[in-house]
Amino acid sequence: MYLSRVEPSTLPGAGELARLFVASPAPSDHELLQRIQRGDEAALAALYDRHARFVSAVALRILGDRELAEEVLQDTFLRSWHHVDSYDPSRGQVVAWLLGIARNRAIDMLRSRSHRARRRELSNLSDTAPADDAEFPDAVALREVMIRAMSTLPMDQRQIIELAYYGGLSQAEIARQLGLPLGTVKSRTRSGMEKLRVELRPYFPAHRTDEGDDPC
Amino acid sequence: MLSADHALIQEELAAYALDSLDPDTTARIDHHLRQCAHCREIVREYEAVKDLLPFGLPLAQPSPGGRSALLRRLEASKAHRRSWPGRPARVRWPWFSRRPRLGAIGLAVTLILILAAGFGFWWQRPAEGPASTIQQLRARPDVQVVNLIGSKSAPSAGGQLLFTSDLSQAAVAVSGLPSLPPNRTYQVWFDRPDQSWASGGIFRVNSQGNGEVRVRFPTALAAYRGCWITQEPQAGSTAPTGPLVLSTTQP
Repeated sequence: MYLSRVEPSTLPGAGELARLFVASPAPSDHELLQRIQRGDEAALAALYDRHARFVSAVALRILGDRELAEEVLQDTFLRSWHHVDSYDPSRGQVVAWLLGIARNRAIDMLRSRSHRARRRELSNLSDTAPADDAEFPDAVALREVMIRAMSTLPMDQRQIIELAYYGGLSQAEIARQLGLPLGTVKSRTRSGMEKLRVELRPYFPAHRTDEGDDPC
Repeated sequence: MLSADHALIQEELAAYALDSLDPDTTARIDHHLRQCAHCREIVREYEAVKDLLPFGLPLAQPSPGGRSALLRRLEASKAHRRSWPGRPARVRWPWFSRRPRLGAIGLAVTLILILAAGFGFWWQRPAEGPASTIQQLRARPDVQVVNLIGSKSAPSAGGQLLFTSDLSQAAVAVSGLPSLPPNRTYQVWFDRPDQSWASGGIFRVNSQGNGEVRVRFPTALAAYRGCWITQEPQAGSTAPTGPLVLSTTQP
């Protein structure tokens, strides 16, 4: 086997969390998107109320600037309105789609700014807002899963994954920034992501089966 | 040979899912994934990991007025899209099939100076200034934004036209455009229903492909059908002559 396998994790509440965003309280996210497709602004407001804190968290983590993060937040939900047809349920939950939009927008914004400012922001990646999620038990549960999964990673692997995801850096850029050989960065990325892949598999969205594939 | 490349490809799949590879390697993996279901499944799972990463962050409270601001921007966006019909179904782009002749360039240089006085190429500079016009515009509550999408000649490019509701300030910001040789520049255009053109300004991009230019609408915004960006000779042109790289999105 080309990828190492480890024993399945014992992360808590897997079954419950797997249903978290599938069976949200009515109306579901999918129903909100259907209403948005029909031009229902109240549905957009409801989607915002439900997920703005997640989107803000991603934008703030990437940009380290509350004003810019607010701009990304607005852009993300506006884009969800104008491009609602681009949502593909087979690729994951609605909130993951929104977070993907937010991440792309925030990284675009990060790249458009000066290299110096960008370096400063990247050095402050962990300078995010304090947690204030006591009123969102679902988010707390999923957050516990992720914190636990990330805690299984050695710090050097976690750092590289975060620089890639939140910093939008290529493997070569990470190697330069950390003063590491490129091969080391690649192997740490692979090892870290593989551990997370095994740990988090119970929470992956159901997927379609590929057809007509050739063996490698 | 697919199998020979397979092991090497697998080494890169995690970074691929994180969008952390150089374009050449990404293209090589794209090609491999079209033929290999096994690697596609691995990438799908890595991408699922990527989608879960942000859930580990502490939630961040948006500003108290964020919801109302969103709905205001939505209303402004909808009103704007009604007034901007966007890209016409068929647009004549004669410059796609021919390069500008030297004589035409000379004439263009002369005319562009005349136009500059009338329409005001009042300002241009590369992006990344510490307090750019774009940032100033974004900070305004009445800013409206129109997306620009890359053409076939610049598929990875993107941009935005930003303007205040009173049209007193406007700017175009772009990303992903190739850097140009010294004798070429990018030029912003607004097209009128009578198929004439108004220039919005010329600009260059930095080594990362980012650029911005402050523009001024010669007349009322409603008089235009869309915003276009083309490659032009260094001093600009009186009408588009070079390849189209960006244009307004479909409504």
